[in-house]
Amino acid sequence: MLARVAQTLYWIARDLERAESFARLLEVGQAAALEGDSSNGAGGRLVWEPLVEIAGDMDRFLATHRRADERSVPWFLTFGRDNPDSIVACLNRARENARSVRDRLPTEVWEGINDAWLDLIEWPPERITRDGVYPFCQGIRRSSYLILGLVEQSMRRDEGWQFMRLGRFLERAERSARLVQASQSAQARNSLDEDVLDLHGWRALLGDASAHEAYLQVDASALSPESISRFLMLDPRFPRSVAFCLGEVESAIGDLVAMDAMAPNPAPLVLARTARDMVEGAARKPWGGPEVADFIERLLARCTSIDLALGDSCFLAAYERTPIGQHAQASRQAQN
Amino acid sequence: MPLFTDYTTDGFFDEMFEAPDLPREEYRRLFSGLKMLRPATFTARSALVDRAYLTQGITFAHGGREQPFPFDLLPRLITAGEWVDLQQGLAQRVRALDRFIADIYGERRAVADGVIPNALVSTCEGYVREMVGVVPPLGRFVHVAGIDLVRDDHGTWRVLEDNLRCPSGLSYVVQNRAFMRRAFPEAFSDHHVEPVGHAPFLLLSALMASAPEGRDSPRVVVLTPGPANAAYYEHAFLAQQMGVPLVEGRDLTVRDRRVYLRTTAGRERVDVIYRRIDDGFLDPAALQADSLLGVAGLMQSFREGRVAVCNAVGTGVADDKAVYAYVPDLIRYFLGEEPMLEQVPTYLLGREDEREYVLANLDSLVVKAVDGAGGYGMLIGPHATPGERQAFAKRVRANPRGYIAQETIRLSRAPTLVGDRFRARHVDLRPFILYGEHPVVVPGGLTRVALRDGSLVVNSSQGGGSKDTWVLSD
Repeated sequence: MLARVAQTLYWIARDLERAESFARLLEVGQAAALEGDSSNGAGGRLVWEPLVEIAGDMDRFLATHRRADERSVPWFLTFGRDNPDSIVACLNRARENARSVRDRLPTEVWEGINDAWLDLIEWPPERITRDGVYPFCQGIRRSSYLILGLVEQSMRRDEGWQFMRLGRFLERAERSARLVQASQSAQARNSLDEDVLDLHGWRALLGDASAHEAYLQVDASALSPESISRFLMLDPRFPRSVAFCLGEVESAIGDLVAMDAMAPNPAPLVLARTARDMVEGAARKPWGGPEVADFIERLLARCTSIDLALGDSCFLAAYERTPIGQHAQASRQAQN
Repeated sequence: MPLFTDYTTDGFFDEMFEAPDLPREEYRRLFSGLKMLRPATFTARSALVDRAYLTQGITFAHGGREQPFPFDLLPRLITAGEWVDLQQGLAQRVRALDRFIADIYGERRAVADGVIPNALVSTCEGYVREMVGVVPPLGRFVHVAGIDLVRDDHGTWRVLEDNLRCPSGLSYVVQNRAFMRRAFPEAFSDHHVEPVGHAPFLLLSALMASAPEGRDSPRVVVLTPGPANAAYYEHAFLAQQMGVPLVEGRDLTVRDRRVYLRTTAGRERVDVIYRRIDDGFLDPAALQADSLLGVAGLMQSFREGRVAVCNAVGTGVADDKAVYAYVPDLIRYFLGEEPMLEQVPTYLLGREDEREYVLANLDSLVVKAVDGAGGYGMLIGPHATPGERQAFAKRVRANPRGYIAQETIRLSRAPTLVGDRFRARHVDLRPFILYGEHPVVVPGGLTRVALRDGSLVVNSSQGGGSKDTWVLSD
């Protein structure tokens, strides 16, 4: 498969996953802000600031917004032009990328992505402020499920599908890990008073990962921050847990090697294996304490290195960027 | 029949009607079907197709917004008898033009024998010196041709121009039919329509037949300038339908004078390149150095016969509108046959007497730049202001070889949905000829419609739409 096409498919899947995860994040953030006693004043920060940390970076946010609250954060994550990873930006990128490889996507998948975009641009941005984020986020999630369903139902399990699977699960692993990380640090900041356990916030975390019901089936009796974060990091069967996602990443790379779409024993495979070893090691040990933060940090770094290794060994990073001026020349080619 | 309320033919040749309310024989069943249909039903279906085109991304940018490529749901019909003549005439024309191009870059017999002046040939804008002496596989230069046909006041088909570089529109032929079937299925009942869905397969066969010798199961690719190009949809569609990779120049690399794909697992040999970029941009090492769309080393590989480039480089010589005037003679010379298709009477402005006649009669003639395409660089005398005519006359005098003039053809018209009823609009027809071992004409072609009232310009870049074109098989 063409290196450029492989990379583009990988990024389509990443961007779609990212948009969906931000939509879910926002919905739960809104729910948490409405219910808890943190709905206004200083308490609002407890809900909205972690959202910015999970979704992007605080410094960039503060460059254009005074503070994180129920107006600025939803805007930043949905339509914010100052945010290169806003939901709108992610979908726009996914759509432009899909257009550039549409010969490799089943028509239904391209139509699904294009329609999601066409629906999105019909959405008046001010509705976010007026009606809240829920209808918007629900639309995004539904589009995402639809596209994913089309991918699963109509794509041959070839290299293209594997690269999309790889992108989707690597992105999801990172998102879940950052979710837990942000909650950990929020807890560390706020639990000076050890008696007040912010269970409300931790349950919201399960909502973020659409994990609440799954979690209750596994471990309804012990609703504690540790058990929740362990579930999201290490559960081997929940499709949004970091352990599950990294398993898919490793398996996708393995399948790509097996179908000769990657050179034998490539660096990304080696890295994915060690990531899995880290997760398995952690599962054998008691969970909790300060080493958890360190573990998550190392795991996130590993995800980044898998992405970089894919760029070097497989996507031929040297030519990944469209040369400046190509678009201008392309638009001048006579098609008479 | 409210859809046809106030429909008039205004003395033009109408594709559907002999006279108001009197449809031509081949249109009668369609006409009675349409009479049963409520206008609201028809317009609703039309809107549905628009949305489907938008979803598919079959669009063009208009005022910064994406608009669906306009598609009119009333098909254009061609009878079996008419089509047999057209098909033979088109195949004949393309065979002759292909031989002519091979001759230009080879022995130049046609020049030596005085059929066409040497000066005319080597001053063609599309002439590529680097091609002298090159013999592509099968000796074939033209693999895909789009020959534009129009019908005059008497309903006579005439060739308007030849497009032998990167003719565009085959994807619309296939897609218009697919959407037509979905939106207006009952129109097909009682008609036997020649299918067109296999056109991409015919294209692939022509491309494979042109692979360098000794390459079994040759690897074909479509070379696109990228999504910024207006015809990008077509490039992606054809690649997908042929099941071959759609590549940009940066996806290809030349090693040891062979062309390769850059894949995630290393290099993969390429045998045939169906390119949709202009000659000059193909190879920055051999042609235009600033090209970001091409592949360095491609020309050498092509010249040595290690890769096929389709259409071959340099086919623009036969697109030249001054060469057009000689095509009937070229057919007689190369094939020993009488031309089967009429042309439009053409004046060469390089000849003094013809130039003076044209300049004196600009208000009744059409003047075209010899290398123009897409409806640009032309003056439609009867529609132009005196100022425009003067400006054009100046350009002609400064560069007479750069222009030709033709009699104004009163293009035929066909009913086209405008608002909630049919109005007559001018149409042309672009059939596609795919040439591997033998020329194959895709049944029908793309009927293009000038959507603005009275306009003669059918190009999609200038507000043209299209119709599904049915060749009836009995």
